[in-house]
Amino acid sequence: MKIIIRNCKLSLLVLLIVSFFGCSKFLDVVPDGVATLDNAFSNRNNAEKFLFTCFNMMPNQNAAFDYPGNIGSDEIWWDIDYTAMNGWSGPQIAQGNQNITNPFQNFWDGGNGGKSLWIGIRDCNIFLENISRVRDISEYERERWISEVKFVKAYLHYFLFQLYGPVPIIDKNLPVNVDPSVVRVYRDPVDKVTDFIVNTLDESMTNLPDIIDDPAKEMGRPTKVAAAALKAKVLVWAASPLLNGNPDYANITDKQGTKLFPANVDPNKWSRALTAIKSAIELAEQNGHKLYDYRNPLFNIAGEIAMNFTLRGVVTERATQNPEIIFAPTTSANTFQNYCTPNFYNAQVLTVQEVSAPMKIAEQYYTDHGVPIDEDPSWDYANRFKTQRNADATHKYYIAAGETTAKLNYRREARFYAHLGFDRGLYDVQSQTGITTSTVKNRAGEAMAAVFSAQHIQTGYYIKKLVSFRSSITGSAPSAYNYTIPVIRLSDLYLLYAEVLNEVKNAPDNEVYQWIDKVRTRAGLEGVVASWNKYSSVPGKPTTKEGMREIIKHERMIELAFEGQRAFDLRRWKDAMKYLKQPVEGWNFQGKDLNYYSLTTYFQNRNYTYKDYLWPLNQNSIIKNSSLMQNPGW
Amino acid sequence: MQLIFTIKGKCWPMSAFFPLPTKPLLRRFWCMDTINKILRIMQFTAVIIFFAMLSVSAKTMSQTVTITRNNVPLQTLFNEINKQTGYSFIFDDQILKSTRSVSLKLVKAPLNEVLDLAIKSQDLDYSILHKTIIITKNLNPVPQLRKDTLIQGLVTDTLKRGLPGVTVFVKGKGGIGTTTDLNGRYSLKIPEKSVLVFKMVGFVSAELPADRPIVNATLKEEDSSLDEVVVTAFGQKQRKEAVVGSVTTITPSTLRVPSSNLTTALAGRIAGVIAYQRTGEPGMDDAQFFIRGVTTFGTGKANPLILIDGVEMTTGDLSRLIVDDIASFSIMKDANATALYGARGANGVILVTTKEGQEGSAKVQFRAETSSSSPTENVRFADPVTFMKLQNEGVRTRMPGTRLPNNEADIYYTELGKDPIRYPAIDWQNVLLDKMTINQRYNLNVSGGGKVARYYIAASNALDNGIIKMDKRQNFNNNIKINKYSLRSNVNVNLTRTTEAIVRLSGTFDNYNGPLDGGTSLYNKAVLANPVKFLPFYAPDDGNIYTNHILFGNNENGEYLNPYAEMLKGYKSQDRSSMYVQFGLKQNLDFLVKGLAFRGMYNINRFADLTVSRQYKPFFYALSPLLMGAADYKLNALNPNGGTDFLDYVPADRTVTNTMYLETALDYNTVIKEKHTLSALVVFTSRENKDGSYNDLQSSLPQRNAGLAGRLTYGYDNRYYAEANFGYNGSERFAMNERWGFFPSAGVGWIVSNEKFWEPLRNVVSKLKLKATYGLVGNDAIGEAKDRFYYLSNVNMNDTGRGFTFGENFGYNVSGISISRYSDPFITWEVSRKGNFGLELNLANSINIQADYFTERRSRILQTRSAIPSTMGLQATPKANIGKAKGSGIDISLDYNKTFSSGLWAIIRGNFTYASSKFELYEEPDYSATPWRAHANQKISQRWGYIAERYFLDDEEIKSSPLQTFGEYKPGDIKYKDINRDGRVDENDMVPIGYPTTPEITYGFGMSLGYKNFDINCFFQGSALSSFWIDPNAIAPFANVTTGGMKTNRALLQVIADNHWSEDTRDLFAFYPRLSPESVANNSVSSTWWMRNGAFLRLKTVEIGYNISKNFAKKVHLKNIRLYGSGNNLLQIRNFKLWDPEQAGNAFNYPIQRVFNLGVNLEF
Repeated sequence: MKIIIRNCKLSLLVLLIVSFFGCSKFLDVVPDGVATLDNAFSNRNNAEKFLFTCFNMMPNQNAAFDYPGNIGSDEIWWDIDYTAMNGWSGPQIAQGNQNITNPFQNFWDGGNGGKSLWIGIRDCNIFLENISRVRDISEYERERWISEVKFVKAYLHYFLFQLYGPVPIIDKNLPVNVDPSVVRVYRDPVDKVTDFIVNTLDESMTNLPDIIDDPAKEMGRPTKVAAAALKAKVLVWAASPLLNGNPDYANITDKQGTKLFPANVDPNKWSRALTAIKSAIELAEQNGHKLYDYRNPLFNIAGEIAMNFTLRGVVTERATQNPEIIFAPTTSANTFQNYCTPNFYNAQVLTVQEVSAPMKIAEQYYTDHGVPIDEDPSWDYANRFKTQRNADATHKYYIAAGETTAKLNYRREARFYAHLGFDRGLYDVQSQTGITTSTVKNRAGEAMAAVFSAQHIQTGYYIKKLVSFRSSITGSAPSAYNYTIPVIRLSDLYLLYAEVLNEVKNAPDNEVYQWIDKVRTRAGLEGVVASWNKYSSVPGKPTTKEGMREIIKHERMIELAFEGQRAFDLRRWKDAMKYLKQPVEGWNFQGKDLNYYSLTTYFQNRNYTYKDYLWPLNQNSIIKNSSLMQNPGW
Repeated sequence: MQLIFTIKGKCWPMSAFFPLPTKPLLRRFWCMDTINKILRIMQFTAVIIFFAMLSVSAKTMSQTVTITRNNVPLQTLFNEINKQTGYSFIFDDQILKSTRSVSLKLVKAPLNEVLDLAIKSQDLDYSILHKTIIITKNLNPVPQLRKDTLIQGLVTDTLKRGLPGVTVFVKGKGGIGTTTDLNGRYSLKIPEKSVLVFKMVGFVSAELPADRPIVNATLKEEDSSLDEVVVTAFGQKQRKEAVVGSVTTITPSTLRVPSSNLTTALAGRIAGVIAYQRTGEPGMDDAQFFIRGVTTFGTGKANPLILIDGVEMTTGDLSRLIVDDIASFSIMKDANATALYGARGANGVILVTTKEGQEGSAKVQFRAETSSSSPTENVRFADPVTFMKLQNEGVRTRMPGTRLPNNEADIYYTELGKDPIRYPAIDWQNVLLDKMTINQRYNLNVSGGGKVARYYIAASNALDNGIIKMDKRQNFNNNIKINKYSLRSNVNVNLTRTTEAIVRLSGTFDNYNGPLDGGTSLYNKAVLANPVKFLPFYAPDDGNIYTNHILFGNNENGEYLNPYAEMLKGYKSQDRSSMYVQFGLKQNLDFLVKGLAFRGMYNINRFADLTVSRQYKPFFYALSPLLMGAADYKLNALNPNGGTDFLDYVPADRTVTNTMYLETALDYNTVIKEKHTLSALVVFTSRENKDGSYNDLQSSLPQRNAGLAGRLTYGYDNRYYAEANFGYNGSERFAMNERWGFFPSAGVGWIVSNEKFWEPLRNVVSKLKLKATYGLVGNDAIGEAKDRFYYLSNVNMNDTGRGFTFGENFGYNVSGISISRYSDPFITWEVSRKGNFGLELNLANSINIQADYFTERRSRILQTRSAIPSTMGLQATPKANIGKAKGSGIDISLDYNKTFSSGLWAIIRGNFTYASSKFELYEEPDYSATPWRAHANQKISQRWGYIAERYFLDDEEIKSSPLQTFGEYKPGDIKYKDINRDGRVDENDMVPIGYPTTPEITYGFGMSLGYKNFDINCFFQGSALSSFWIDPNAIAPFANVTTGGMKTNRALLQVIADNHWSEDTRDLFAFYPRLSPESVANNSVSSTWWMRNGAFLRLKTVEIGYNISKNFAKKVHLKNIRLYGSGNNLLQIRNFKLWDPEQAGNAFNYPIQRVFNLGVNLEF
């Protein structure tokens, strides 16, 4: 009996214990196959997704309002009467509201129009650490992907470097659950950052393809040329006055006493940049890159229109038709393009004609003699805001016949008419059968006037350059031809080459003139020396280093207008304070008939100070990471 | 003729169910036989119905006899019985001759009982055959041991009220017994020298020697006695003496409030519970409650584990519980009491058990209540004319030169009030809402049972109405109407003598019908609509005579919010049902080891929610501009194409959840050598919860827990007690290595008053007990629900937002991979170390005091890693078990119980809880330069903000003061202190301000007084040491809050109209700063300007009850009738005058309700 009882007890206990240990299984609720980061490198398909994830973090040059090179500087003005738009990041910066409590276009922490590029850098590092685990991939492809990710990693560092100056270099990822003291990284000095980016690009160059073999799938991916060109741009950035011995920053040390900025100007930096540009150009030309030239085998068009299309196509033609493009990651410019398009449509369209160019940008273009409007005595500078009727056959491709427009719009270089649309100006696009020409009518009460307060351009100058000649301007809604604003194109390199040569040499010579003249020739202008000699009131300007520097800068601002370059160039040259404080002016969009042609100020004196040269860090970032230093002035 | 049928000894006059013609004249038309037949059928049917209802019952008798005869021969008795029952007798005259006369005094006694008494005592026997009783000689006569005596008596409670239904039996001879009648009287024939036992549920049994002919007994109620039973973890009942942990068991009836939400009754009733209620909207009015405050700052669970009948439930389940169904309500507070719940009990445990049937006749209790509910107070708003004037002032003073929203002529004519159509002045609240609503509640429960089975069944219905008005032109109802039904059936069955099975079934069903987005939203819309722009609706003009929809008013392009249209445009219906099925088995294992028992329980819950909305798009009309000289008005249709006059369907969420719970336990109890008591318990539990409403993989996985817990207790001589517990728990949330947690605890108790040396003091201090416990408890419910698996990363392998496109025609798109959580295999339990030191005191047998001092240190609190800089490049901020917090406090409860000789009785109860907790370790940026920003050593619900000095005087002062970085500001806006004196007021100048937002002190006290049939009780409840902040964004007048794309203008609080900074008054300390048409960022940052003291004391309930005299009750065949009236939230004492501080910062919330309630409670 006792045995039975004991057995009973035992079995009860056993039952209890068994049911208990059954529990370890019971608690395993997570089934196999729940995605973890390991899955990202389990096969080629997933690894490819991760590759594209790395590209995803590159700042989008096509974002009109959120890219630091677009609205926010002085080149593009938005519809300030559209109150909702004023809260967007670019307009906030343009109105002088940049701050440290919640910075706009925050590419450090992400937010307010920016995205945290550190996330992209971490992704790149994860990719580089794990890509060796993928088995079903050819060695060639693996090497190429590694190189591409290194390119992106360098690009992201370079972008941060452009915005914030000295930044921490994140070459290796720290584990997620690392001690807080380890994650408090310091900013690295300018020279170290430069070297790191350059080295990474050098590494990437080894296995990048020379050209894209399969444009249908791969157009937009970086090539060896792109890496070489980017390296050149990085070195020019480091050699330029903002960071090369800028006296404003000379004495700045961080919290551990490191000097973050080089105290003295180092001319060797220009030489180093020169080598890089030279080899980038050589490499580009070896691989078939050349300046774009519009050709149409289907029908004959006037030379002016062909030139117009050439000058617009340098940006709006895709890389397969445009050998000038060196790097243009294929993000759609459609939204930006629509913002630039005049409302030609027979219905109200909410996405069009929202951005424009201020008056000073219209004034910036040369006369038809290829010299600045205030240097050409044959051009009536004093009366440029007066109006004139177009009775002149020379303008028949630019201004509607018999119509009256501002004198400013007469006798300008081809790029003026290619880059800008204006009241009574002609607007050409190419269709299957030929050319469609429309006239812009922007005066109050007209087709493209303000329909209601929140849909109009203020200044009177449409940005025609960013509207592809393949886009439609008829019907009831825009049908935009999809393209990407290039990050780097060949004339950018040519102009940089001229700029760097001019800095390296004691005085400009033919080598300098040669590179800038290539760009001018393509725009239908004579060479620098000839033009100034013949038409300028200061004919000797190209002969001095300073004069030539000014000419190169001016040429750059015209040639690369609206491509997201000027904002960076002005900062690089330390010219931003001079330009960005200027008022925003334009024609009077509320004026009827010729009352339209009265100069109107839309925004007075933006308060741009030396601190604005570098982006502010969110003060919370400084509090979180006490090793970080705020940028000067903030 | 009186027809009676019986159920288990209770007599029911047939007329109570089926009214009979009573006038003799009428009766003649009834053939007696027919009546008898009909009645018998009816009786039978009724019995069947009743049996079906009660499901179980013991032996029943269909016939009863009432006999009051002295010394009558048996034959006379037989005639009497024949008359009353129709039964005929067959007997041998010879047999009767030798019998003696009998004296009987029986009321409605069952026939066999009468026969037993009359015949079996006389060497006779009987048998019943087809309504015939055959009397025979008893062939095996029972030898009479002793002479029986008839004992009579009255059984009363301590208040000298007769107790019906008390079981009276002879000790040692369960067979000889009876129960008391409605008046508490009994009579019983018993052998000589017997001892009578008086027993009744809820009362302490009494034993009295039956040495007199009249033996009266007084029974003490159980819960007022010292020998209380405390329900501890897993429903174990422990003698209060023996408990060393901190457990409070309260009488469920103290939780009764005139509300269908139980959680609103918790505040101030129970020592150790901190509770507050922020809104009074029906269906949304759950109070928030914490046991001994909040000592964690993680984002996970901070409120207690709620167990109903041993099964983990939600706050919603608790709130829907019917107080009448509750058998016990326990709060477990310290580590020792909650240890068995290990990983689930860190925030305390609330354990509720529902009633079970007791052996005995059917007891029926019915309660009906009807209550009126209206806001405790209405926030005062300025009139429409003032609104217009001050809206203009706001625009004028902020944006001079801008067009004013109201032109002077409009203001003039609105003020004149002669043309209310063209110049409307609308009180939207009045248009939309009634002042008061009536709610009803009905509860019915029946319990009883026999030897084999016992049952408790209950049904309840509550009907809560909202205060929303209706429009007769529409055929659907859009007022809030919540119909809650609940059914409960608890049945215990003795399968064998040692096996008991328990089946509990319960279901609650809510049918909600109400406005589209709930009552609060509509309440908010009423204070957001512009009062002067348009009428709620217009009467049809000439052009709209044939229009068949309501012509809702609006303005301009029809973009203004018209709450009347919002209210009428549709309705939402919501059906929620929760079902619980529980099966339990208790096996006494005495046959193995004496004192050993096994029990098991399996429980399944299902919850389902189905919501459907239907709505149309209202047509809006605006008044046409005035025609010259025309008196008539004309309406313009604003959205002739946008409106619809038919209903459309709007899909909504559907929720289904399924929970399974399994519990098995072995329990051992023994007493060794009388002085040593020993008990041991081992429990195994597992739980699984599935939720169908999640829409990602990780959340969709079942939630599981499993655990093994044990308890060992030892008691010596009712003086010394020791206890040790452990919980070993597993949670599916953690990685393999961290999955199991071990949480031990131990405690000791000493009843000083049971020591010999205490004897002389016992009259003054009848009880003194000291106790102390210490232990560990865990919490696995850390972090948010979607982040359960911290050891796994959450990777989106197909994130289209993180992909990229390459290719000439933008044709090659590959989506990207993103991470929303990084894996961290080290994430583990939050652990709490709790200590408790308690004291129990009984003074002069009438004052009970229980006081506890507690400490708590929480560690491994899950915290977002705030010190990880962006340069780490993480897509999601990781969390880690970093935080530490500590808390301490006291809770005291006191009650005084006294019955005076005059029959007056009084109970005074009070309780007080102070709980305070602080951050100890909190990962945050290095604040050494601004130490006031650091969390360490600050209270857990501490708020940070700026120190507001006053309003800026003028522009000069603004120029000379530190720069404030929140937005534009002018004279009349708030000036803040620059704490670190760096010339700018920014984040670095935020300091801890005010008391914590969760009150540190919660207290309550109340008194019950009774005299004869009357009783009155009142209860006060209060809280102190808390601050709240008026939400400046929520009260900003005129502000346009986008509500479904409609333009709004928030109503103007009267206090702002009366007391604001204006350019004329320039009052630097006015209630409200310079007016503005919108909320002003500079004035709405967290600051001391809007800080108010949240302390209050409110008269929570007053109840007056009257028990109708027993005699009357008897006449209507009821056991007890109680009528009562009560009021809830009657008055409040506080500093803050503008609105009820319990609803905190937002004046525009649905207010807390004042309820007046009338009820009747019937017991059968």
